[in-house]
Amino acid sequence: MDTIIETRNLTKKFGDFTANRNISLEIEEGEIRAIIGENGAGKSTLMNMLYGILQPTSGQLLYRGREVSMKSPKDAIELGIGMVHQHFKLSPSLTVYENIVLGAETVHSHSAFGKKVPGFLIDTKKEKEEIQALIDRFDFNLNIMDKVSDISVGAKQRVEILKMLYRDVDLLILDEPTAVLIPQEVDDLIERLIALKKSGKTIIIITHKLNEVKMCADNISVIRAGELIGTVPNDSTTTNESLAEMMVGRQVLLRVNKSDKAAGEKVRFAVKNLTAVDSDNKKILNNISFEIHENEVVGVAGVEGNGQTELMLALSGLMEVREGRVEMEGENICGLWPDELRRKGIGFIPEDRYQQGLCLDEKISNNIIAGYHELSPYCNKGIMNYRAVRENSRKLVKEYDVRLSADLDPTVGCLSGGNAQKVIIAREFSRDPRVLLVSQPTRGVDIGAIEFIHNQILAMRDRGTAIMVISSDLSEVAGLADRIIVMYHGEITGCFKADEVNFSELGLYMSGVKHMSDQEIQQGKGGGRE
Amino acid sequence: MKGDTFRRKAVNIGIKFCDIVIPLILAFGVGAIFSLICGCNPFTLYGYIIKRSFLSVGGILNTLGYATPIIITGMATSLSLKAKVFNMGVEGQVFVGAFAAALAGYMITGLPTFLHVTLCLLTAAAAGALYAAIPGVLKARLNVNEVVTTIMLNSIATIVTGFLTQSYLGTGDAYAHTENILQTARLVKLDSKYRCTTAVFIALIIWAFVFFLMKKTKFGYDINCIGKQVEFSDAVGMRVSRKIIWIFVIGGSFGGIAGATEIMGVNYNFVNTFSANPGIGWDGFFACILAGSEPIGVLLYAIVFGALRYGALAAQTGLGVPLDLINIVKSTLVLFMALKLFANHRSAFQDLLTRARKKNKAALTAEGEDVL
Repeated sequence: MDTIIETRNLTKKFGDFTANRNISLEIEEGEIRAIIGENGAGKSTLMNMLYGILQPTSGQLLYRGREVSMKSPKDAIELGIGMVHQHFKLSPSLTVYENIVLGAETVHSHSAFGKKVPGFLIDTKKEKEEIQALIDRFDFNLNIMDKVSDISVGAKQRVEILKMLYRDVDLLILDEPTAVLIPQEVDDLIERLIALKKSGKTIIIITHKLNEVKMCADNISVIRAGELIGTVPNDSTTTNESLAEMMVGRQVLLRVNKSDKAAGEKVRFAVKNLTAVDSDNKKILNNISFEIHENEVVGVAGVEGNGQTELMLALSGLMEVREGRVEMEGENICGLWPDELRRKGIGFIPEDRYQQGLCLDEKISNNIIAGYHELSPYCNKGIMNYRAVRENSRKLVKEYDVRLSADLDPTVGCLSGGNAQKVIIAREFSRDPRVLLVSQPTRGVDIGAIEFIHNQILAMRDRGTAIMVISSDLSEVAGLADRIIVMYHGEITGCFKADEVNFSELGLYMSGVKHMSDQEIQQGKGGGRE
Repeated sequence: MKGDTFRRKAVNIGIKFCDIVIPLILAFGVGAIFSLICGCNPFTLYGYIIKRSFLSVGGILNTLGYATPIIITGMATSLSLKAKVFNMGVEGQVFVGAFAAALAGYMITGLPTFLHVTLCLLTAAAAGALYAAIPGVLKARLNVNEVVTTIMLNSIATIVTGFLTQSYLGTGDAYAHTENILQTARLVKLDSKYRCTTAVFIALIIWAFVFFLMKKTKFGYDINCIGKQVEFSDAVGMRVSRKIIWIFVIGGSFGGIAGATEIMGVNYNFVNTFSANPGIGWDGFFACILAGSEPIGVLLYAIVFGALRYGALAAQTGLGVPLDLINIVKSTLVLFMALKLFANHRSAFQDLLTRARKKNKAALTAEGEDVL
């Protein structure tokens, strides 16, 4: 097999920071290569250089044995390199085929003076035919006239891939392709990738989900802290544990160790018939009801955008609710201000860490008391005691293992995702809340910190706290929760006991194919054993 | 590592310093060109202004007299800008406050001096606060853009107070003004020949109050966070909409007091040109922008602006240089400051620095080899 793309000592620096150091990588034509590494390890930087978005500081890039320098993605596509980004770059108001041809439209050609000259009208008929042919050839199961806003996430991803195939690329780079997919769609994607490989395409897939890597990759390259640690073939000697160790540089616990302490009998937190509407009067939360007992974790599963964000906002007192109650130990707390909710003993880990969870330009010490800054000893009759604030910060930084470099109280914007999340965890957990509402606790967090955060959440559970965990990562929900509720289109479609659940069954409820009756949801034990 | 942080800090301070000094040089440079056009040696002009406004007790008192309301309006603005709330309406609040103080100054009679002065100041503060509450409530409750509302309310304030003075409160003189306020309502001049009154102490008290509020209180912590990230502030329960109204109300009451000090200490009656070209509200706004809302900077710039105001007047009579020349310096200064040349292009400058350092190092090693 020939090498399709090769990097030699590729280095990329941003100011003093080296994102990639001397990366030498060879990718063979027709293979699926997985590039894995923790968040912030430099995977995306490397791919952005392969796709011409970034230019290397030093080192060489060879495509089919010839040295190339790409100034922009346009150059990359011309060479035959395509990339599908984690966040889709599609125009929702256009149709599938319009999105695919966007920027590479076919125009009518006219004959003039015996020569062919391009006109300026778009030849939509020809475009549609070409794209239909492409869809048929790769069996992509798309209707070219559907509006992109109406199709599922998985279909959107297929459109993105088609966009690249239409431009006739040989090398396809996929950045975290499974992050937004439900389990069935993940399987589907992996099958498609293998089919594409068989048709002669080369695929690079960036991810940190090891199971998927094991399912499709031929070879696996591991990047840690900007350096290539090594490339291993995907065979029986390569285990998830060994890969994780390569990624992190030490042994990692991949499973969560949940104590078998049973959930309590007393209901501590209850949501009753919660309904909320958006500005178009469309129901974004539809009659949501669930309860959380003492020392119980309730996981909320679902494809992103099915009301989880709104549920969190409503429970945090940041969104108005049309109907329903939220009760804490029997008392209605719906409609209270966020600071009042905190005083009642509810802790929050918001979904958007950098918008709602932290104030980026503010020091750690000030972030780590936010929301509790009116309490003694930090504040006395409206006057702040910044010495107490700093002391508290020093203590919590140590206790919650927030890693700092030389500066002892930097702004939060300087921290990595995992350390930033630890600041929030420290803030909320150190107050010993009676109820804890958590959303996407480990998104963008490195493996080492994930382990820490999961253990902290479970430790809170064992101390009796009632916890809700919303996450788009199914294995996270399943690992942490005692009970799982599934959301689809703003409704709860199912409720499961976590130890009886299987993922493909969950997928059916996540995609709205199945829907439990209210009674079944109440009982909280949908059929996971079928 | 330690050395690195130290160097980074040094670079930061250097950049800040450059961003203050270079605009100053540029602005006075532009002023110098216009000064030459007017037929006046710029060095003579600037020297004259410095001499007149700083180098004598009388000059300093006049400078402080002009700086007094600017300090107050500057602090009113800085409170709102810290929270990234653009209260551009201090000028209007100054007018409303001045008008209220002028009325309270002659309509209420029979009070002893101290009480009357206090009452006038409180009336002015209340008027300014109420007037500022309008855009505050609109912004907090209905999310109406405060820049638009405050600027429109400025025009309304100047026109309505002018209209009332002209039509209903005039004294029959050639120009429209209200009746003089009573002796009991006047602020005392520190020296009767110069502009500075006891209002300068009011200004300093307000300055210290805002300084304390911003640096030491929970309210200050909150507005700092609101200014940096509104969503965050809401999420941790700072009740942003209420705080915004408070910011407007406090700022408005200061604006009202600033207007009152001009009436009670200098004019003794309300003329609707008392705060013209540019208004004291606007000078406070500029001082605040230049200082990046930092209290100490606001104080310094307010005094510089006071000196320029007085110096320009002095230069007009002493050297025959038009007043507007100094306004040009002031405006270009704001313009050059707004560029934040160094802070916004710091990576480029840092690149230059590192390259220079590398070159030095290379040169040094080359020399070293020569010796060997």
